[in-house]
Amino acid sequence: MDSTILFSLRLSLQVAVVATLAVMVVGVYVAYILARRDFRGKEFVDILFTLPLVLPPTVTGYYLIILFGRNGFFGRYIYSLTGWSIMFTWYAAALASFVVALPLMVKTTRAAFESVDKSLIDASYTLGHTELKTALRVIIPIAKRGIIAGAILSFARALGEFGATLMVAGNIPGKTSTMPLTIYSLANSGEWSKANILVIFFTCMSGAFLYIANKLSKRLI
Amino acid sequence: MLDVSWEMDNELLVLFGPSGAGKSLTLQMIAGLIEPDEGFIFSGKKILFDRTTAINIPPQQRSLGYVFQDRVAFPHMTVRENIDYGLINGHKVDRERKVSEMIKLFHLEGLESKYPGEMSGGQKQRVTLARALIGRPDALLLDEPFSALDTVLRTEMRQLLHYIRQQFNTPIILVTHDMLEAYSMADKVVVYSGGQVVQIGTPTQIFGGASNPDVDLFLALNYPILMAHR
Repeated sequence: MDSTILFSLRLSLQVAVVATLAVMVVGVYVAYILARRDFRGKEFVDILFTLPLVLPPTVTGYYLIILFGRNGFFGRYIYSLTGWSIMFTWYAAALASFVVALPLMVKTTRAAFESVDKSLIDASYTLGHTELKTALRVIIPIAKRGIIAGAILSFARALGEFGATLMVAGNIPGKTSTMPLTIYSLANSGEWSKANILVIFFTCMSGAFLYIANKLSKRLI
Repeated sequence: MLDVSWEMDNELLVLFGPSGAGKSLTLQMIAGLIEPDEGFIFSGKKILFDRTTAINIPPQQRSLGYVFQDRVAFPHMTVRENIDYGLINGHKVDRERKVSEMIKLFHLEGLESKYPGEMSGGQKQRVTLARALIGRPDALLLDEPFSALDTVLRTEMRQLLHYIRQQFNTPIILVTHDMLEAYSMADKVVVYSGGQVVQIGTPTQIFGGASNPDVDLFLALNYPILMAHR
């Protein structure tokens, strides 16, 4: 197979795996807080973590530039300390995928946490177990399918990230050209046969992921 | 609105009354799952809750076994794991011995590696009783534990409860709206109505000749059942 295609395939998987791992850690935590706690500004936090789902990815990317760009809110400190900027590296692609995929994880996992019978949680408390142990031994295991479904959806979304990635990582061949970006380049330059391979591959894979996620979500109920 | 006050010894106390009278709410407050607005709750000499001194012991530290109405065995754990979850710490060997003891005591032999989904309602409730008791709680709180079971099973479970009283010598608070259950189980009955205690006494005192209109009505409606079991 063509080296451009192979590279983009490998990079996309690498970006999506890293993003999904981060999404799982942060997503489960945020979903737990949203599902189990009441606090001022909860609505705001919920909206904040849902926004990337509805915003155009370019807008999300724009925010990421403002935050992590060389002169960005955080980015300038990172640059002055290390002389390094995340912009136009594969890390930026992973960051973009992470932000865009996180809402799917939070939504799915929160719903799964909220469907855990409250009396099971109360039972664990009355048996003397702490909140942390109850979360690890009762809530998360019971919500397991929802968490896995959320992770699969996030992975599929991360794999397909285009807009925000283009904004923060660019489309540098052999460096940050993930599968969706490569398809764009190939179509632009009229290399249809190569694009076809990637498009078909992508469609089948995403379909398979959705099928698995659906199966898991159904068994959740 | 719930405004109640009662005390009990090492006995089986029944909170009796119609649905919505505040029985379950009382139990949840004793267990620490809901915070009362005012007042105090004692367990022996231990203060569990006191508004005036701002004491509110979390449910984890109240050492009370709580058994809910239904769906309470952890669905993702086997019988053995469910019962073991009632122990907070201890060595593996010691825990295994204790769990095996409970399995024997509650007639769950042969079901050790089964999941709640594969068991009958009565078996599941025996698992949750064993789980609540394995840590030797100061008292056992039962919130209509048998209401989801059929009549035959219920009779069996009542016998089991008598047996638990003998074996563990632990105070039991049983919430029920089943008259026969209250009558046949209780050492003492606290009658609830509309968030108030309307009567406290032995089953004979309560069901022999009531003096409260609510209880009278309830008795009148259930009189044939009561007579049939005398």
